[in-house]
Amino acid sequence: MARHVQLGLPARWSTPAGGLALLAIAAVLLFLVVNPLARLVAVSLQDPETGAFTFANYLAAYGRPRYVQALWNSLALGGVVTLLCLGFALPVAWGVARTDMPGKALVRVAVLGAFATPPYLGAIGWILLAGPNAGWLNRVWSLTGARAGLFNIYSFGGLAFIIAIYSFSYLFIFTTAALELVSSEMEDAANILGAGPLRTALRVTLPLALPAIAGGAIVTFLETIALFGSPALIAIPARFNVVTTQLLQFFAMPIRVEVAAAYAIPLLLITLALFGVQRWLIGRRGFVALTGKGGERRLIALGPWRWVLFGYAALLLCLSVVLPYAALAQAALARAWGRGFSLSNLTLDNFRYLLFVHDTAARSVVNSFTFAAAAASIALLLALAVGYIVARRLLPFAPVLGFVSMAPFVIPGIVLAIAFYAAYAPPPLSLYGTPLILILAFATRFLPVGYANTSAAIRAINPEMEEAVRILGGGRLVAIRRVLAPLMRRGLAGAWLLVFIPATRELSTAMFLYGPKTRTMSVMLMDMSEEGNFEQLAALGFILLIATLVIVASAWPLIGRDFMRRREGA
Amino acid sequence: MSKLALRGLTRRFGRVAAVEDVTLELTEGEFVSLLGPSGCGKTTTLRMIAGFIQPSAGTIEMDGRTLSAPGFALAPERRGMSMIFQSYAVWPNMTVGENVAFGLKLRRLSASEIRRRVDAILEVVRLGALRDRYPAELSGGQQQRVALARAIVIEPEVLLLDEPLSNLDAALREEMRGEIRRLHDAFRITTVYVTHDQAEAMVTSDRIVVMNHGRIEQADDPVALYTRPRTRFVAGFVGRTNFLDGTARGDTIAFPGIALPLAGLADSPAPGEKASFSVRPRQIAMHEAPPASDGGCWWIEGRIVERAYLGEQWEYVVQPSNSALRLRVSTPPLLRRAIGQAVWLEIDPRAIARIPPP
Amino acid sequence: MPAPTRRSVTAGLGALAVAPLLPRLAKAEQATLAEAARKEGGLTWYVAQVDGETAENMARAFTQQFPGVKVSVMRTTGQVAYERLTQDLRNNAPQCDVFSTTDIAHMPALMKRNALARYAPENAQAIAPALKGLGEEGFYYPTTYTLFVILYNSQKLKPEEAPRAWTDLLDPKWKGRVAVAHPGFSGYMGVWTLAMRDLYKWDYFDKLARNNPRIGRSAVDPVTLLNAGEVLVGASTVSNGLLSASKGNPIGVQYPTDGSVVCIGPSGVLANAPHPNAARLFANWLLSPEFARIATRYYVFPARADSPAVPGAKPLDSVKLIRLTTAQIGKGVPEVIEQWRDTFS
Repeated sequence: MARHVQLGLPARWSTPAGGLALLAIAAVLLFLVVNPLARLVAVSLQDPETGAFTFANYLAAYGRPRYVQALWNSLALGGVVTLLCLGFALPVAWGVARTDMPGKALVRVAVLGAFATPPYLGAIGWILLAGPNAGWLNRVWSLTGARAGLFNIYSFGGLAFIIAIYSFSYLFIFTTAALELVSSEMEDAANILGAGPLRTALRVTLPLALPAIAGGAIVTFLETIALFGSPALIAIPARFNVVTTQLLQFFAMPIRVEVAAAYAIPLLLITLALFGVQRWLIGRRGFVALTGKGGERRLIALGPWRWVLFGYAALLLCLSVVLPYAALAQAALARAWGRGFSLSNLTLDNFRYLLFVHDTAARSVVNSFTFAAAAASIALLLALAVGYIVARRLLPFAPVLGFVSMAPFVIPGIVLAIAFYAAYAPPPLSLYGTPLILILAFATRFLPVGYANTSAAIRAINPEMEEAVRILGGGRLVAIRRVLAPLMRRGLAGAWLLVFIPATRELSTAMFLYGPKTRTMSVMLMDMSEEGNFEQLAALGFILLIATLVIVASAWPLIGRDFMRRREGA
Repeated sequence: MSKLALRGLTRRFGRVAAVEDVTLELTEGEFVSLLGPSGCGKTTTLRMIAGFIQPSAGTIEMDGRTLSAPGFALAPERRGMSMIFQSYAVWPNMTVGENVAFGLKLRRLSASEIRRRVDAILEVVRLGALRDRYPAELSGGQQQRVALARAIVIEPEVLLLDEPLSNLDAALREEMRGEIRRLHDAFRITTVYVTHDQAEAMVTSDRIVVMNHGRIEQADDPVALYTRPRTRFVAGFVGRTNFLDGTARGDTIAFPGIALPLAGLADSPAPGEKASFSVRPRQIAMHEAPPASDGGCWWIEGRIVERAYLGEQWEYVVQPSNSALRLRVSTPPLLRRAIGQAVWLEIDPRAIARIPPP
Repeated sequence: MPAPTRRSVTAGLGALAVAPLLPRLAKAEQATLAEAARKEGGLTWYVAQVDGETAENMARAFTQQFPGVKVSVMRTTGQVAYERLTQDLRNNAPQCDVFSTTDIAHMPALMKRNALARYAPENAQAIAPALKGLGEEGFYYPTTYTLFVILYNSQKLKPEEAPRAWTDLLDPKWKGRVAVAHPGFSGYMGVWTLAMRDLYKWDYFDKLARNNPRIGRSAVDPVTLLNAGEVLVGASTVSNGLLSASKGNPIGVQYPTDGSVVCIGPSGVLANAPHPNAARLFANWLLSPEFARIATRYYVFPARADSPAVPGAKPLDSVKLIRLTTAQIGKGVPEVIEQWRDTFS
């Protein structure tokens, strides 16, 4: 019972070995989370040569209009993407949660598909679709006799659009979750006073879900400004910079880690501040009106309008899933994608070449999956240890450990990478270019996901299960081995996958930490995009996706359907 | 010598004392209940006995050996006790047989001995046929029996039960509390039983310890506890009651609006002394006419102001004439009276319990 | 030490005269080197001079010739490769064995920090005389070169419609349909940008900016955009153009009347190379006849004097060339990168 956990400080681990193990875990957290961030701040305030205290790095980082402009571009991009996502997600979320719109299961699966697509892969699909002259959509448009293409993906608007179609799932998930809790009585009350369905939705239902929507909007904004892949693919050719691409420039010759650190600090501060706002919003407005099951829930009959809403959802999913994947598939199976759809243009050679001929690409596939597996295992072990210590209050400062484990959640991947670079690339550790630095950075980046899931799994197990072992004469380790671990197997497998999958596709962290022998698929994809080799690029993207699907499918019986739910909650 | 002794046991969480100065001794084979409302400290006391919580002050001894003292607690796994939890805590990853055998395996008994003991205990709790089932395939009552078998099979020094029946429905609860007593009669294991349900405590226990705000209010056998509550809290918590608060004046005692003779009271207050009494609704008889003679009883004239039919009995609320008191009276189901009817209440002062004034 | 003698002999008599004599001497030395390299197992090659696929093919050819010596290819643009290398050096985490860049000024900079190994490859004497002076004897040598030229989509443009001179790219009719690389990434692009600045002042790029060019990163990018029909004209290397055309893509090459820019790709062995013997074996191989054959197959010009002609390429003496010195590149390229970022971002 929870009551016991709150009341009882159980007898501590009394052996010295146990105490040492606890200290070791605290030390690992310090190493992975606290020290890199401390180094980041320190480096940003140091002269690179003398180590003396200085603000010069900040002057260098923000001393040029171009650099400041990049920051503004990021903020504007975040704002536009958030607005677009609201426009995409809210009607569809309302339709799925509150109305008799058809095809809901399909819509949910497709939203998950959009969520699961690495944004850079989607961006590549859209380059094939909406390249200003040769993109498929523009080729179709040119049949009308128009001289200029209809879409130009290489533009601020184009970038905002492709980011939005791959990030609206956050808002969708947050909003549907909230809307599903709104009682129909709330809507009935408005109806009885004479409000129609639309007015009720806009004035009653959506405002009730407002804290959740605001929370989702903030996450969307933050994800956008921290994104690296899509801006690198789109913004550089479109000739503008955002914070993340600008940070990459500071890593260019001569590499200036200290300036990059200084430039990254405001990004960190914005993120921290907005997460603070999000917590405050959700804490204050809470889900007061939404608490509990809130009475019965009936679906609103939309009449013919339900087909309109379904059409909108279908269009959205065409844009985010169907069209880009079709374009990618065509390129992956083509000798030259520009030649279009014809039997003579069809080949599996791209796959064969990548997997069996191209050494670097084949190795990047292996790297991605081994690094991700190692990172997921490390993150999970650590999360499990910390989760257990926190749940059982084995240390006086246990809650601090929990907080530290969640902290990377608010650190943009690119900032974490720079922090890791500053802390561990140079001697004495000299982890630069080793697989270890990537594995540790991935483990740190996804530690919060692991922690949130494992501690939920631990909390889901009644401590009495463990106490029953102890009172019968089994020690803590017997309890963990014989009862806790078997009971958590499912939860742990799910949590492991939730770390593993994003780690296989992580780009922004890898971009700054990879070495010649530690390139991951994501980095490889970016390199190939530089050479414009879209056929092999698309094929590599498919290898990534197929491998992920195979892993999830094979793990499905083990983890069951609560996997998806937890993913939505995470 | 006592089997288990708690001496001045105190546990504070921050500034709040959850358990304060609890002293209690159990003899070998005794069944003692800790009874009280939630938050009274009974579960904390039990968990201190188990070793999950260290005391802030006081000691716990078993067979004269100190198990717990401030800054020291023998680990739960080394106390030789067993415990049954509110959630049953039957491990879902093990079969019934494996659950029950677990404690025996930890004691490194031979496989044949384990088998024999598990078979025996499963017969006792009537689960012999379910040995290879998993807990998820059992009903709540069956799971509870597994928990019981698992706890008893190791023949613990002390058996601890933490509200074991609170998750069961009413009928099953009644069945299981009988089962627990039956097992105790069979094995005579020294037992501490935590509950907030007085009926459960009364059915199972040799002795009931009523706790409130972390302290012991009264520790007595069930009959004494009901008939002779020593505190207002105990009187109110164990069964329902009416409180009469008065002051002795000459040879009468004055309650609000009524004066009654002191004669007949077992524990008669001195003149001018305040005195309170607990009168059970069942101890009040209701008549339609005034008595011919008082027969040594108190007679109070009044009027019915509320009534409720509960099936097994009637519940009336009677307001004495010229008084704001409201007395609850239980009568047999056939005794039907109308609201507003004038009645005479009869109370035997020899049978009522004197309690400290408020 | 036979090497200095031999070099002086070679210098005096010319390559042809000693050709029958040399291989035997070289063979013995190469055999010991190959044996040591095999023990090291492989090497890491940072390369910007060719595209990734070509680099992988070259690496495989090397391993075929020297079984047991695997090459892990790290192909990226010149400036990125150099950043990587600088990071390796700064972090004292050597990864790279042989460095083949597209910005020749990287090499003196590396020499200055003592990052290049002292090594004179056997095959260095076979370098074409015109290229010989461009390396630094005993440290680095040109291994490939190419020309920066105008490429166009030959499906959509007839040869006579294609731009003839660099200044033609400024014609408003190419607005939105012209592609270039980024000097902040591509080394050869930096050399070309510098050459254009020398020729026409920065004004050229201010005007180009008005034509809203599509800017990639690598010099391979414009070729991709041309293939896709995304743009009609672009600036890239003749090697990239011919290679792509050989695969059936609609690429035409135009040698600009105001000059094709000569781009030299030097290679050197790193002082702290993790596989010093394999590195030397590979560096020598980059100047070998075998490499020359493979390079020309992929339309890259090898540095050897006796290399076969690159199919489809005009003989150099029939083309107007623009040459820049290493010193010019070292000073000018960082400048034009900054100017570029200010103009184009």
